[in-house]
Amino acid sequence: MFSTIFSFEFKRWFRNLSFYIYFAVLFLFSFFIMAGAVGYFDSFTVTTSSNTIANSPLAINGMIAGMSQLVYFIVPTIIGATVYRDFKYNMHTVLFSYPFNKLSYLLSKFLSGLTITIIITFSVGLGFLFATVLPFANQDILGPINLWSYFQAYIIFVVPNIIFAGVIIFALVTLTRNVYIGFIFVIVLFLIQALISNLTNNMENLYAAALIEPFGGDALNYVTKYWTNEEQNTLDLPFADVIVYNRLIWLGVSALIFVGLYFAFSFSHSPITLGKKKKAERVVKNNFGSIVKIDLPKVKYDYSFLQNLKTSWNLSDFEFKSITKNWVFISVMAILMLFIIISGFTLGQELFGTLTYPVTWKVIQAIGGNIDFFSKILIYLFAGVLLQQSATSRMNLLVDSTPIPNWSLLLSKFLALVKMTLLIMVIGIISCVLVQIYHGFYDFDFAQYIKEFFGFRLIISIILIFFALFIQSLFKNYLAGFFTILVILIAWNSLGFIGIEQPYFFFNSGSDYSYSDMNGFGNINNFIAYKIYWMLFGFVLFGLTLLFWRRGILSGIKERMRNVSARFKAPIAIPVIASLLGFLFLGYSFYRENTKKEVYYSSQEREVQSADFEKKYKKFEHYPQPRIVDVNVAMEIFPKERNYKATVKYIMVNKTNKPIDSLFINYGKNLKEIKFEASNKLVSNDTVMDFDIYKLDKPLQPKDTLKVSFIVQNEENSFLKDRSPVIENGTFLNNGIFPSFGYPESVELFDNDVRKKYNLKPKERMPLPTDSIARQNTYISNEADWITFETIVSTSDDQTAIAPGYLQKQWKKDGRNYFHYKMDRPMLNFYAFNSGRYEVKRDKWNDVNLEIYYHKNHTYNLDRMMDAMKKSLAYYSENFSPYQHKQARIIEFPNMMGTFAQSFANTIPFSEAIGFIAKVDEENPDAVDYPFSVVSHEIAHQWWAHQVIGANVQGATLLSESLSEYSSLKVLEHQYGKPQMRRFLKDALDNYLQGRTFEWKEEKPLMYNENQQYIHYNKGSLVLYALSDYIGEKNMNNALKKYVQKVAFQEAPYTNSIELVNELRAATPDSLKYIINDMFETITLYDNKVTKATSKKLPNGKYEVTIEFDVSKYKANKDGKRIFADRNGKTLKATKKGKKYATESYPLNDYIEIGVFTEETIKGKKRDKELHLKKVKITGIENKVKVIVNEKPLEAGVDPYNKLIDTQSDDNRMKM
Amino acid sequence: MKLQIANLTKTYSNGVKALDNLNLEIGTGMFGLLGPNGAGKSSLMRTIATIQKPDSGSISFDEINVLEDQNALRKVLGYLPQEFGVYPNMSAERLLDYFAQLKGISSSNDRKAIVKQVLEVTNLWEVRKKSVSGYSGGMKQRFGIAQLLLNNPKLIIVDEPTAGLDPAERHRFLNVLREIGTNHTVIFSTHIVDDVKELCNDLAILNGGKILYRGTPTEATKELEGKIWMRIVERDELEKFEKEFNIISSNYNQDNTLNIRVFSETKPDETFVQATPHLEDVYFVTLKKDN
Repeated sequence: MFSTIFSFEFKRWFRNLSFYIYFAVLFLFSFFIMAGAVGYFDSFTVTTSSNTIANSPLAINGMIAGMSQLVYFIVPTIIGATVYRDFKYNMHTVLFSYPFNKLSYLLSKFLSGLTITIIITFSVGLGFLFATVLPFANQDILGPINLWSYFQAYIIFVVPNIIFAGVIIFALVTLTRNVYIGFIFVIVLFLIQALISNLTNNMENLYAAALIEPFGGDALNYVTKYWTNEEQNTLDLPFADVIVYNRLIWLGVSALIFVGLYFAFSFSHSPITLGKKKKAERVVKNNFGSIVKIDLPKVKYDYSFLQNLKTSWNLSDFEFKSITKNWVFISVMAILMLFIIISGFTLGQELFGTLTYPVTWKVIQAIGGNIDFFSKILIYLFAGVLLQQSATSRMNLLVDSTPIPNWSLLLSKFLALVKMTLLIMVIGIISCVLVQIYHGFYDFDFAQYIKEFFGFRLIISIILIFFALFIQSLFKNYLAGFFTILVILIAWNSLGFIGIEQPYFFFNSGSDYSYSDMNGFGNINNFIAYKIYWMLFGFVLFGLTLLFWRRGILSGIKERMRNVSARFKAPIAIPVIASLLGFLFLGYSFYRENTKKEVYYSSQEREVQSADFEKKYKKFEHYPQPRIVDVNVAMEIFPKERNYKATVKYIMVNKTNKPIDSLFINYGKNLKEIKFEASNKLVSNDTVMDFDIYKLDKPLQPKDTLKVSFIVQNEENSFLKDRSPVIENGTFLNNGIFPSFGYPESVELFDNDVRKKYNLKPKERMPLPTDSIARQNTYISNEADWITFETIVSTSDDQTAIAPGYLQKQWKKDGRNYFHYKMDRPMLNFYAFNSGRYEVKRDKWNDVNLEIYYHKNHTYNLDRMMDAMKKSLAYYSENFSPYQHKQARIIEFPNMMGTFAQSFANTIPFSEAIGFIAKVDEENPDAVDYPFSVVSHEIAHQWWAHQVIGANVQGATLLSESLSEYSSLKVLEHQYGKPQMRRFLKDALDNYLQGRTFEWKEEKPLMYNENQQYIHYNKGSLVLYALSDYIGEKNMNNALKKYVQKVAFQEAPYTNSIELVNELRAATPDSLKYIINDMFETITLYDNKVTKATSKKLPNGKYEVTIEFDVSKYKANKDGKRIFADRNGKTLKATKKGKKYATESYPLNDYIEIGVFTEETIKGKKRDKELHLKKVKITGIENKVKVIVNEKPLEAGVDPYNKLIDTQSDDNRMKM
Repeated sequence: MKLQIANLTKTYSNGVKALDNLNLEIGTGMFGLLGPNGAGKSSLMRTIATIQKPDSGSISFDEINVLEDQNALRKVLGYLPQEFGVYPNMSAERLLDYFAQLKGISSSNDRKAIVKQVLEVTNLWEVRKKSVSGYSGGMKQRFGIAQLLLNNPKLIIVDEPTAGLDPAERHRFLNVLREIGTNHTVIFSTHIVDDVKELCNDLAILNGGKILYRGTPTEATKELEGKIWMRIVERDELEKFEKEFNIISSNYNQDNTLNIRVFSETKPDETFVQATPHLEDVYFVTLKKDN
């Protein structure tokens, strides 16, 4: 029996068109994804490049996993359909009376569907494989073709996952006899995935999280999270413990579900139903008829346009109610609520465990994504459900023979979908408010809610509704329609592949909106323009939907096409053509705006230009240029009109010992004029690259000065395009908008794969620390050293404008506010202008004026930030050098301009999103007070950048970012104590290790880092903090103090990391000198773990703790390959009993911390209590240490605070 | 009121010619469209009801060119398809209100009034709050009539409405239909001859997409007077008789003998007796002629 059903089902699929369609669609999709990844389309668009290969086992698995999201949608239509067909065509009434057993029926149905699904998924692998085999690929990002890589992904992940999803869907469909429930489950499945990843994000125990995620993605990630490029490229998918267990668990669950299904299923004619059965009632109808007289009341029939419009509205209510009664809708909404609860609960824990206040935009940000996702899914789905509603309930002939016009029916469905969207939005708003209430936050911004949900999101949804209705109207089966919508939208959005980049080609795209408390939604003209554009497109689709409208019984495509031409009459044709013309006109206007009013270059063209630029101008790279020594800016900011105009005067000096005859200027479209106070000729005017060369009639002699003045002004804004960075409230501009002198190295292509294509030599690395030419420049600027600075900033009369320097004068003129700032001492050529409606908080530290310019409601952390300024200034002045300014100012700027803070001389623009609304919990050791730490980091930059500025060579950012991180950690530590450091360092370690895996070139040791953030921030903070722990804070700070004394405010040649490291080395005792090498000069990692920890009570009441632990150290090369041998080829090895492979280690002579802990309760919270913490000298891999402690120990650890860099940081402690 | 159908042809994509150059004229009253399964009855009905388009031909109802101005016909049309469903979990009252809106009744009071009336006419008032998807076959057909009445239609098309109804339901159903038929044009298709006999003042017999007979039931039977003969035969003899005579129907008796009816201009045989022609005879004779 089994084989009969199996082969019947199996063969049936091979005769089924949809099998081939699925196969072809997935094949093509996969082919194009891989083709894009390996650079097939490089001739249309920018060159594809990557530091990792596209067909490594890990990469293939990642891509297959991505495609599986689409595959899951077809599982119900295959595995679900095998049984569903029997019910749909009422075959079951006959079939179930046949003599076969349940098991073979279920098993054969399931396995046939499963086999077919798996065969279909092969299209994905084949698509990938095919793309890598054809000769068009860029061989640099392609590894050897290896079928085994594909099999791994299928065996470990794809097949077990389809079994899991398939068995649940099969069970659901078999029991409910409804294939759509299977479909809903797929959506639920996605949500579950998202939910679990959301939950596991915040889970301490990643191992457990890896086990409970049913698709094995978390398990894989658990193992491969810190894989370096080398490992990503060469290793097979790991078949590690956690992955094996995960797979076994979920295959086991699948088996259990099948067994459960076996028992729950019976060959009965009716499906199982949930809920109570209604009480049975004996119904006897009246069997004796009578003759009636039909006398219908006189009623008014109205077939007018207006009445049809009204009817559409009434019908839409009817349709809308059918949606709200639809259990699919209800269950999806229930899941949405669940999501909202979870995301609301974990709201804003993104920064070091500290929450933000649930201000309205924050809540919308946290929840909006879910609402967006759900409303889209529901629109795509219910567009089909509503269109097919009368056909699925077989009422269509009744409806179709009534005099209701087609447009009225379509409009009613459209309106019903709008109402559905509104309902979701209302639910969204209510949930957001509930989340705010839950967090005890009552400052609801209803105006924002209404604008966001009933304005912007609704408009976006309406455009989607038009689209979804059109596509769905072409299908009889709404799941097919749904799938098609997804495929079309994905394919449409992938057009960038073939070099289509302008936003007006991408459905429902264009300018987006963003919100900040300071600036509201800002200027939304462009958003509206694009939405009008797509709305017109929607109208066209609405018209097309009407033309294609299915009414009555159609005999085929021909008849449908005949209908289309018959219906194409004035009432439809005129609006459709008008909308189409409007759409095309606006599209053309965008085109004109983007490409005619200004020059437009595609990203491919820009790539070519960069290459050309380098070829043409590279020779001028070291051509001597005068240096800026004095800057005077008259900056006019017009917040209402969103314009700026700056009149700038530079004084430049020839600091070289040769005459300078040419000036090179690199500028933007905003440069209106430039003048040199020396006769000159424009000898090269390159308006494509915006790079001009002026020849001075009389060369500028050494030490001579040259005055330069220029005007920059933004290009005009229009309704269709914004061209100015000025916003209505909270403008933040820096001197990057001014032209620059000399050859801009930043224009060069940096990716070697791309450079090869243009016959350029591999990009030279950042210069070595010893490079004497490079040391002539700071890493901030290659056109100036220290400058004197003066500016007059003007803005509208309701705003304050701020720039570095001290306020000299403030006045009003012509309804505008003017501020005159002047810096009293040389500063870096690095300044900014802010303008906004600010409140000010003032304070003083010694004789330094402290100010915070903030948005009126953002008062939550002002005291904290002020305190951080004072504590930081105090610590740095005492430990490093005096503060060079008499004021320090923090200026809030809107989060739409970024979420960072940036330190200019005595002036620190600070995003509203990273501190002003943080909800700090000082009692929580797992939450870092980041408003405090960010302030102290930025204040530290007044030393580490504004006093000590590194040369533009490798390791420059060690001197600024790493030292600022270290400094702020120290202030934080003094404020909160050591336990607060743990969370910070843990995150730093995690970010460093993850950062390595995304390295696009090569990882450098800390002192040679090339502005790599994961190194200078994350590794830098770890290393410097650890060093201070090893050699002592005071000792370390004294070394830094000496260093500052030597190099602060120096002129070229600028200092480098070698000078700093030498200073640190001098302060380090000989026994620890290896640390300098490990931490600064090389990439060193440890793999430390406790293998056994026991304690025994001694007669004197103390405890003896025995800790056995392994220490393994290794160096990593630039690709992340592990090296265990030292220069002499010496390696430590230890083989554990029963283990095949030896543990290896770089030779050890290291001091490693050993700790013993118990717990104590402080203010109701359990915390570690140190019983013992001491560094011991380690020379071998396997170690055993005994320590005596006074209290009963609970836990012991090796490097228990993760001060060393260790990829497996959770095995450093062990409970006893 | 006159429905005129001329040269109507429809061929389905599988090659079946459902309507074959069909001409028909129908006036006021009950019109029975009689034909076996697959004769093209539903195709014809659907075509008249604007649900389906013919390949060629024309249909007009009074001034309305049905194929051109479908909505004009829909305003005066009541159509009950052979098979239909309704939205699940929705009461008769709500559904009828829905249909009343589709049919252009703007005022909600009007809708209430007419819905009440049609529910009473079709004897569904008691169960108006019950969901229609749970109705029995007869109730559902009556609901079909109820929705059809909402626009006070001039042309009513009911497609095999009595199939599957129990005698009481059928009876009631036909009564309602007759009442409507007194001052409307009702086209009523069926393969049950008795329906037509009881109800219609006019009929056509359709097979293979063609009208084989057109006339009134009385005329029809009158034409056959003196041409229908019957006798009782043993089962074994049937084959022999079938070869010899033009048997139009044969029915078992309780004792396993058969009653056969034969069409013949003259008395076929001494053993036959003359029978009063029934409408059924007309039906069978017509179909037989066509074969």
